[in-house]
Amino acid sequence: MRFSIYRYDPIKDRKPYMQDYELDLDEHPCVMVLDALLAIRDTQDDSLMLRRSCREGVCGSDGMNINGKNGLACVTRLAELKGTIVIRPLPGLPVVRDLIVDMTKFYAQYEKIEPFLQNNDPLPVRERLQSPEERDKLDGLYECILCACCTTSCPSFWWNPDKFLGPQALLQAQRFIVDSRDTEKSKRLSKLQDAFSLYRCHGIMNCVSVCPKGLNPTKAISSIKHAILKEEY
Amino acid sequence: MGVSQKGLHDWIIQRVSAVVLAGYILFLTGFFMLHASVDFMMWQKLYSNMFMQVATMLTLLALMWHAWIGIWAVFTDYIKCSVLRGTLEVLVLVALFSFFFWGITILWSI
Repeated sequence: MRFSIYRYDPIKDRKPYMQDYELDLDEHPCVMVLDALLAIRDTQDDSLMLRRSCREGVCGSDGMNINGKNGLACVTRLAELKGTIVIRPLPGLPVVRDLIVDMTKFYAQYEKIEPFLQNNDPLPVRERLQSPEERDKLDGLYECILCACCTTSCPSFWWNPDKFLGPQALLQAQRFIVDSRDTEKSKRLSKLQDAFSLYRCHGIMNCVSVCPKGLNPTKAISSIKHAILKEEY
Repeated sequence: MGVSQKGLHDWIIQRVSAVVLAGYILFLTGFFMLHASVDFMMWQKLYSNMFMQVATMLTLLALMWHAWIGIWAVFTDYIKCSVLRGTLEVLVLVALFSFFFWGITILWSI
């Protein structure tokens, strides 16, 4: 199987280039893209750099662009890919080296939505209770693993990474907006009414098509827009 | 309109103007379907109607506003040089206002 992999080492390369590798799958029985990349690194080129940790789609470390679509290398099956497999780093973020990107801008947007429960009511004696129905509202929101596949597939984030929050941060914003234990819904909604933070989403749904956890940021963003409308009028 | 709520207001205006545009297009489509051959007299009679003139004026306004919001979003996405963007924005605004008043002039001279 042939791989074409993005290579860039800022210390010795003037510009990025694509490097081809052949991997014999009979000799190296790989199931996922990550298995193949690690086999290439172990047997052919130990200078190839990538992030990975859990290797089972939980940690979100190995987000990359595989044949033009963002995804996690550890849960993308080689059998589902055709022809030469082209691997690039996640688009829209600066490359640190090879397949490793600098996630600073991504985390900065996540920080802006204040991703923690805020409750100004007096502390209860034991804990803040939630009914099963209230808890159900968090399904499809809390499962995000911050792999950045969605945000880096969004053109609005590519053009305005400092102003548009991106689908990941907005999905997480909705996770706290609908949480019955959070009392700062109005404050959270009022912070999203400028021209860029939320409304730069035009609903093209790239984020939905790439999310390795099957989440739907576009739906969450739409829900936020309707919540703001309800709040303001 | 505060800058902090520009996104919300633009979003509402785009949707309301889209409904106005859709209604006008549907009306004209129905008109053409009911009248196989439209001559000048019929066209003049349609646009002499006060209701049609007001509806056309509202549609022109909706079209210009809708276009401005869309173009502004495209400009802020793709044109990072603020001087160039500002110049283009002024040119587009002048063009849109001209089209609007040109349309009004034609409409009220029927």
